[in-house]
Amino acid sequence: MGKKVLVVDDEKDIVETIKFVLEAQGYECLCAYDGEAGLKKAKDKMPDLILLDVMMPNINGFKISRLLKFDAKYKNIPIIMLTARSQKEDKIIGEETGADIYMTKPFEIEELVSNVKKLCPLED
Amino acid sequence: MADIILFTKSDDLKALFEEILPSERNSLLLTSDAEECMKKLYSQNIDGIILDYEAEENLSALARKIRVAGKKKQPFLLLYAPVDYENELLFRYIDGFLPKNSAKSQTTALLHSALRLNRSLNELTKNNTELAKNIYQLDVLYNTSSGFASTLNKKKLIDLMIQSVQRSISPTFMSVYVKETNTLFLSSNRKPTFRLEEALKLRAMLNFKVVYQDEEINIETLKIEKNYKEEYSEMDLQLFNYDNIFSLITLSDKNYGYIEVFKEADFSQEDLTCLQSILKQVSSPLENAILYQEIKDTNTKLERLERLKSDFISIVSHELRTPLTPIKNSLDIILKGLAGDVSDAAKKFVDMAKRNADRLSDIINDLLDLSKVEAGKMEFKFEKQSVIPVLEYVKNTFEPTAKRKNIDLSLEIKNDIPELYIDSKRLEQVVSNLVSNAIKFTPENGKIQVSCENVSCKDLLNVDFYEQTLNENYENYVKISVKDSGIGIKKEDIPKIFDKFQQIENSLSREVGGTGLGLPIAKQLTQAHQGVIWLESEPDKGANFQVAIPIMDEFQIFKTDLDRTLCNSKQFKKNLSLILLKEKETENIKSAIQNEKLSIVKNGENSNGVFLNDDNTSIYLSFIQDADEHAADFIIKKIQSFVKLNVPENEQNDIIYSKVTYPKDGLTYATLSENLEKGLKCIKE
Repeated sequence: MGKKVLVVDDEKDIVETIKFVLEAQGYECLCAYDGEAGLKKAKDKMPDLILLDVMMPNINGFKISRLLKFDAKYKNIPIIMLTARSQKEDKIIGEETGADIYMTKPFEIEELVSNVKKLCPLED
Repeated sequence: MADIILFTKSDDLKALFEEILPSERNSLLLTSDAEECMKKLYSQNIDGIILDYEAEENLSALARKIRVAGKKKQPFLLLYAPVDYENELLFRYIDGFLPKNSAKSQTTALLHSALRLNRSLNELTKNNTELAKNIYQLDVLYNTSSGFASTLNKKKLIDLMIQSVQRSISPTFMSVYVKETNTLFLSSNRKPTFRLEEALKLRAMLNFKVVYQDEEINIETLKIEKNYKEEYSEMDLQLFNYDNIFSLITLSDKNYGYIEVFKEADFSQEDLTCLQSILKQVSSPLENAILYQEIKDTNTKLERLERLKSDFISIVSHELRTPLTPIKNSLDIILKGLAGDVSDAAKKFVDMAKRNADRLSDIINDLLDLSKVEAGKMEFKFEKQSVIPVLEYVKNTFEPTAKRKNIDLSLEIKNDIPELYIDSKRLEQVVSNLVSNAIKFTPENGKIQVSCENVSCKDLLNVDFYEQTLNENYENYVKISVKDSGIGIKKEDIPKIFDKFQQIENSLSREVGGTGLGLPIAKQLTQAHQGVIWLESEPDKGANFQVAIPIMDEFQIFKTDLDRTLCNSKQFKKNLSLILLKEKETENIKSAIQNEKLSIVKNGENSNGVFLNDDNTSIYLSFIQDADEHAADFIIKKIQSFVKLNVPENEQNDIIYSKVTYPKDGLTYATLSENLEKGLKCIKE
């Protein structure tokens, strides 16, 4: 069974490169370019993993993560958070709001693939 | 010279007194009519009245009227009558008795003594009145000075000044000009007419011009604020006929304005003195008020600047790193062949792009680290630990790189190295920086020695640290050296080496790259550890970079941490935290804390401390200004660990630790004590 990964980031280029890499690995990729759309897609499509950017206009990654993790229906979807900020507070908040893994940009492709495979292996 | 009324019908008496009081020096007014006598008394300044016992039936009535009518000056009242004359009622009102048929010389003497006495009495009364007035003015001045001292508000000070001048010298009209706000304050009982206002504006402009020769006031924007009691009674231009005093309001280095008072009657010398005293009194408080305003404004600006700094670092961090991600990822995708076959030529250039993207990433990270440390925003995690694992880790990490250039990288621990109070990750960064530089600037087959030594402060005293200062409060330091056999550095370049982007101009530095920020960062991080960093080098003789970190005892660690935490916590919201300490410990704690940051006080000594007595346990409370919850927690932990090491075990259990956060809208002293007592009870339960 194919695994669906939802990528939410307001930077289209980042989304495109992640999509390219993950599809090459064999994942199916869904995309969203803002928080609202991302949240909606997560609820509609029930992906197997969500890659979530923190700094987005309107609704940021922390909020989305909190909303999903505190909802029984979605709390089991693993979340990897991406951010360019490296302040300690962000890491703590990230962990508190339920992100499973927290990655800082810029990241290496290998690191991304390895984290994705860890939380959402292709074969169960 | 005396003016005396002789109340008599007798011509003989007239003649007698005309003789006694020669007309050149006195004026003797004769009358036998009571009404005329009273009229003269009212219209002139009479020194004395002599009543002839035979002059009228109801002398006592007249005498009484005279007494009651006495204005500022009381005339003396003498009765000319035979020795055995009886009139109890009359005797009540008279000042003296001129016996009939006594010798002329006696009568004269009596009269003159009465005059002298009267004069003295009147003098005394006048002096008393003056004295009373002076006392009143002094009282006004005293109240004024306490009033002035109680406020830092400029407007209030001017209002207070106007009030005191009003009370102490009672002018008919007062006008005060304040330069800062270009306002003219008018104060009087009657309402000034419109043309008086315009005239006063003009007068202000002229006054100002005379006094502050090179400045002018803008009469168009000159505002008037008036304060008068009677709406329907007006003061017009006749004001300018009144007596007036003009005086400047001066501060130590500039002029604040002027005050002008007008009075219909004349001002006295005391009035002038009083006015000058008031102006002298208001000068310092005004200056303080102005300074206070400046300080408040500066503080607001500083706070805004602090927030901007934090925001800047966050924003830049995000904005710079965001485009780097797709750049690096795209290049990676191409290199891995995921986007199709890559020719060798293409691979070479994509590799180049990737290397430079990494380099850019490093520069950004370094720049941000440097900004954070400089802005005081870098978060450290200090712990007492050994520095040896850090050095071993760095050596092991760089060993492969060194091996590639066939450089011998060694680590030597020279003597007994005690634990240091360090942030191991940051110290690692410092040492890594130095080792990485050493490898870059040492040619193949070279040698790099990393060593670690326990040295005393005295051994370091003759080192030139350039802008850094060695803290001589610490007796011993641990010195970490990174000595290489590389190209060295010219003597004149050494001072600049820790400056930003000062890569030394030589061919090697062009090749090895680097961000040029490594050493400045190392310097900042070293200083954050209370340490110093320096360099010894000669061209072609290699370089020896050295870092000295102080060995701190518990005491010193506590002090350093307290300083750092209190400085940092100022960035957070302002709260007051209270900590309960037991009596005996306060002496030790006191000496561990610097005065301006923390004060432990007894009840009443100042409003920052409260002293509670509960079951024979004395408890001192200390207030930390501008601290937040984190600071309070931290300080309690520190005090606890200090106490654990320094207080005998059997006494340790007597100590209660607690913190209470003081709400933002403040509590009065009484409510505060109440709340603390409640809090204290809860802790014990």
